[in-house]
Amino acid sequence: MKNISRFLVLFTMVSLVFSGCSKKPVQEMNDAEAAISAIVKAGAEIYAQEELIKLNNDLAAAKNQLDIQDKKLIKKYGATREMLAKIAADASALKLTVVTRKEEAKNNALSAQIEAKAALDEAKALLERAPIGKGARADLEAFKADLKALESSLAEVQQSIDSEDYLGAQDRARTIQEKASGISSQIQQAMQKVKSK
Amino acid sequence: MRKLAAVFLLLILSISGCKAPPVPPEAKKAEQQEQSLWREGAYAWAKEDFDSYRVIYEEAKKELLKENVKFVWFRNYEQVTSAFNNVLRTGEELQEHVHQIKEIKSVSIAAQLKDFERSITAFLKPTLFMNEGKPIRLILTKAELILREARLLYQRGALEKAEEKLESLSAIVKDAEDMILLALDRYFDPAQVARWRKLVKDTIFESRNKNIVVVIVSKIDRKLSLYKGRKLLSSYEIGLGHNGLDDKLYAADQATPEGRYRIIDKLPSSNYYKALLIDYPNEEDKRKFDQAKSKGAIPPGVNIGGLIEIHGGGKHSITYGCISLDNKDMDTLFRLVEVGTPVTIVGTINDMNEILLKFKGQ
Repeated sequence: MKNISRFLVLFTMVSLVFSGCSKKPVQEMNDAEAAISAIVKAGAEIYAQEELIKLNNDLAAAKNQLDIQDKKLIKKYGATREMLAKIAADASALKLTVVTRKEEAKNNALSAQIEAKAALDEAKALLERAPIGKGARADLEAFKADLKALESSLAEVQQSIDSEDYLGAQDRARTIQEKASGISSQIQQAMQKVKSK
Repeated sequence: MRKLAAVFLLLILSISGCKAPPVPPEAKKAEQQEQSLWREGAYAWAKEDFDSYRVIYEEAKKELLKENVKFVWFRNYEQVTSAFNNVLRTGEELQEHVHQIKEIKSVSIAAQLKDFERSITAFLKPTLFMNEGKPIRLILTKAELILREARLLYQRGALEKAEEKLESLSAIVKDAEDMILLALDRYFDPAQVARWRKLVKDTIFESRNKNIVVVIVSKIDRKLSLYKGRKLLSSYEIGLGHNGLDDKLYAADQATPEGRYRIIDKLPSSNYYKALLIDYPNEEDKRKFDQAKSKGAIPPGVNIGGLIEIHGGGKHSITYGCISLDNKDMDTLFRLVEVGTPVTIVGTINDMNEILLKFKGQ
């Protein structure tokens, strides 16, 4: 009787150990997948591409492990559960990084937009002050056309910002700023020529 | 006691079975290699090869997991190591392949960037000489911005995105080219060029016969030349109307007329420095006007216009149809011509004109 009781106690202990590892981590898998979807939605594909790739690889590995355990008679999901918990935690931490980087990109795009507009306004003001003399000067007319094109491109910068394409907006704004500054220098040169005559 | 020992051993083994399995070094290397391939964009540059690579990599990982879940003394990593070595070899080949593809792509994009830059610069140049170039410049400036963006992407190694930008650029540059060609259409028409040549020939003939100075204006060359017989006396750079390359048809079309005219008045003082009034419209102009009007090609209530002058104000001026010169050149010209001096205005007489040569045959 004493032996049977001992055996029962030990059997219960062993069962508990096994059952601790055998419950399928469905909720953990859902949590991990949801956490990854959330960071993708937040813009991880653009702002944290490498980290996202690593997380997806980890998730694939966890799924593999899950498949293997599913086929076993005595299932042990402990390691899978740990992996999934880590993925969910890493994804949550990454979300903050994505949001920070996206915000940074947005601020950079907005600054670039302001600088581009300032450069464009400066060029326009210079063109208005240019001593065109009789009628219109061909080169100044050409600059007017150039500035008109830059103005419509500046509107596209806003469209890119509105659609959250902050990196594209930044590139476009920088190119507008460069071109507008180039035109300003050319107008100044043209004005200098007129003055020296 | 023996039973207790067996159960204890079973308990230890169960606990040890839940521990994380050891990873062979090849598996870690393969993981790093796969991430490196991702970073290099293998999934985009060599999709099929990368997919195949992923299949054998996943298989190797499954093998590893299978071994790791076995009891410690049943684990054998020989096959796993061999599978991961295969993954590493395939990955190295793939990496090399991706490098080659990217190198080829990079060279191609660099060449395209140069080509587009050359084209845009070449197209921008005539737009400065063609007053009709304003809408073309609008397009070309946008093209320039896209080109700069493509260059930024290229410099950052975003080759695919750079390529996308360049693809959109092709159509824009083509539009600009088509617009230039449309504006120059008449200048490539052999019959038109022959008519212009005849006008010039007749004028030179008159100069020789009457021993007088004549004025020849070649619009696309932006040049006003003074001849006596076949002898070129002097040449001056000029400005034209907003639509100066077109032949004037009616008032306010801002085109500069083409044909044989004469100076009918010398104005020592005008709105635009000194001026020489010519007899536009002549009989030929009136005939063309009537013909166009009967075809409905002229807006209702619009007359043929007049007051076409050669005047000062600067060679860079854009006029309403007149021909403008720098004031110092106007001083010289004013001295050399008189009322009655023939003035012949044509599109071109120069086969070697830079703009025409550039676009000829396109």
